[in-house]
Amino acid sequence: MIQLAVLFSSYAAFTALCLGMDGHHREVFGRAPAPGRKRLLRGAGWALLLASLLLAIAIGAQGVVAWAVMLTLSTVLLVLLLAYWPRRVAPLGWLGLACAGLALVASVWS
Amino acid sequence: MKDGFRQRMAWLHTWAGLVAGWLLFAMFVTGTLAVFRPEINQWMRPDQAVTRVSEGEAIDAADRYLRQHAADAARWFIRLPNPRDGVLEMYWATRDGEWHDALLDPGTLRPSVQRATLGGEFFYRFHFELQMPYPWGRWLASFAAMVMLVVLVSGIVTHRRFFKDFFTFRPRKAAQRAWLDAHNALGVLALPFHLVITLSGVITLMALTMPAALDARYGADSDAFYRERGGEPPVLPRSGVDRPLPSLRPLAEAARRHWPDSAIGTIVVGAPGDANARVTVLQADNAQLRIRGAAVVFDGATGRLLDVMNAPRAAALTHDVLYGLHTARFAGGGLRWLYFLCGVLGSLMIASGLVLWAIKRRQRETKASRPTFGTRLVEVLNVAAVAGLPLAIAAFFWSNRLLPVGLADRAQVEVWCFFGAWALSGVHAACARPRTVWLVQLRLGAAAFALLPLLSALTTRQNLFQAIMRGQGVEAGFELAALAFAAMLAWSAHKLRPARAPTAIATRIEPAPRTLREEAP
Amino acid sequence: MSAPATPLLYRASVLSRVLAAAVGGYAVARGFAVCAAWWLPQSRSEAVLTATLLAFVVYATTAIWVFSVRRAWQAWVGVVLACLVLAGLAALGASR
Repeated sequence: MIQLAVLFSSYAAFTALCLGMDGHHREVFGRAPAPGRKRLLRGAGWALLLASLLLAIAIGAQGVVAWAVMLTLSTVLLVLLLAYWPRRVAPLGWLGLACAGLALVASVWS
Repeated sequence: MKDGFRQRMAWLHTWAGLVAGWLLFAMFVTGTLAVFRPEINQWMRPDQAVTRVSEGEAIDAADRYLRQHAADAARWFIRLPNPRDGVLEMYWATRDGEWHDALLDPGTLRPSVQRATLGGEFFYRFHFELQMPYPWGRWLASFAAMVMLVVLVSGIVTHRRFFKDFFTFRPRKAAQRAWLDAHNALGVLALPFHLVITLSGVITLMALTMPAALDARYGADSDAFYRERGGEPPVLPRSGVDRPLPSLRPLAEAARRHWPDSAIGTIVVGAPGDANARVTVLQADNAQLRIRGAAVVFDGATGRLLDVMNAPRAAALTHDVLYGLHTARFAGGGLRWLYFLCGVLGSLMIASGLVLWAIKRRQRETKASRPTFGTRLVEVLNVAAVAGLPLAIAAFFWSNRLLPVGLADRAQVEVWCFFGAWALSGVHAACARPRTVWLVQLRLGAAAFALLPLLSALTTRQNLFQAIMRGQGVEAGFELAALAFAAMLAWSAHKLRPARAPTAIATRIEPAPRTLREEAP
Repeated sequence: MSAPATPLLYRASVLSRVLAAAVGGYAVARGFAVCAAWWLPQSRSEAVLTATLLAFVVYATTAIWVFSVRRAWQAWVGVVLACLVLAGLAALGASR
């Protein structure tokens, strides 16, 4: 479960970081982000990335390797979404965040 | 060579990448398959029935077998069955240095396999030996990996919009732009993986390729180095005094108290039956990141515990962790798939780079009616590598199912089928028009992989549907992966079909506002 | 590089750089490995391992450097100088 939390939170992190870039924000929403929104997205992205790393460290050495590989795969997924279904990027980012939360709750609970 | 640092690095990236690219592609693909070596073994031995036994029973079986068949050997290696591979694997070296091996069912102590095949072992070996005699293949593979490292670094330097382009892939743009985007994205996004896998790959063969430091400090006495570094099972020369070897199982059980949570991987016995015998019990290699787990050494004459090796020092640990990261034996099921996917990304990165070279060159030569010899050569090799290798792999799997079980030299014939198919793909590429060749070979590859489950169902007692229903993860996983791979090849062929020739693509681009600035080529 | 008629001189200079990177780079890496194995303040086996691991980084760096300088002869001068210095240091370390 906690592995899924790492995967989903790293995906959500990269969605936020990606939308914090002018060009990609415009591709998804049709306009550049306001400065405040940009800062928020970037801050949230880095915070989530750090959170996913901390979760990975909690798993142990295997977790950190898995984290590094998951980062790669979540960015590849994001790139494909941006290219073919840009409208789905933001909702799926939220979905990723929600799933990360759920997986975390489930892993703590069990 | 052009002026300017970045231009020179771009030149290096382009040409070093091209020259080593075909070999690196083959190494990446076979290495990626080698992640699932035991699973491929299992699929390729459908008539194998292995009795599942406990660890202790397996040790007893090996003990019995080796005492009977290799009593006066210089050294025994016993690889115990594990959840991924239920076969008991034994190697021994005779006193003349000749190696023998036995792959047995641990329950019956009989060969567990009816059809002779190298299985996943073939991809694993090819990955770093390239089907060449020792040590040339390993040298060439190491050198190719060094070139890869240089290509990666020069690629990073060349790609100056590294972070700006981080998430950029514009498949609807003109061919060259789309391929460049794809190449950049695949390279940048998986860069940590590429760097680690390449550097650690070089390091796995460093004892062969860079022995200078060891020679300088130890001279001819390299055994002393391995003794001081630790972690290596000690082997003493025979003293000539006979001493009966104690039963291995109690020793293994005593060793296992040092790692109650994981299994025993290997047992090495040096000079069995001699007064100088040493028994080393090693922890399974899936228990930790580093390639070597803990190990316990016993005196093989008295059964006395001599040494517990479990704490490599800093440099040895670095080496072992890098080695472990490369082989990924530590990885559980999920992480193994992630490794596999990253390997696919790396293969695609190399393939896209090769195709990009040909596209750029073609565009420059459109005015001339015929492509130059060099361009043509690259195109032929590109098809033979990128579309031909999947065909060769498919031929390997097909031959495994179609060749008669009792055929002489069967395992070797499978390998010939692999190289035969690959050679045919090259000949075809050299004789026909490039676009036709791509289409034909990609479609053929897609068909070959798509029909693999059907072929398997017709020629063996297992089939995909049953495997899924019964939850046979390995069989189902293998054939589903073959179907996914078929879909990928079919999709590539679909993308390449003549209706979408570059001119056709150009008319289809919608004039949507593109916000990311074009990178000057 | 892609001029219609590539001058012979240009080809020779490229070949010379390839040799400097592949062979010269290996010599520098080897020299570095021996040198570091003698001078690193670690136990013998640890020094050997550290030196060998780092040697590959040195190899890659040297190869890239060879292609980054303006003229091929500069690359050769650099490689030969590095080899000489490393050999000297290694000899000094060995006789310590």
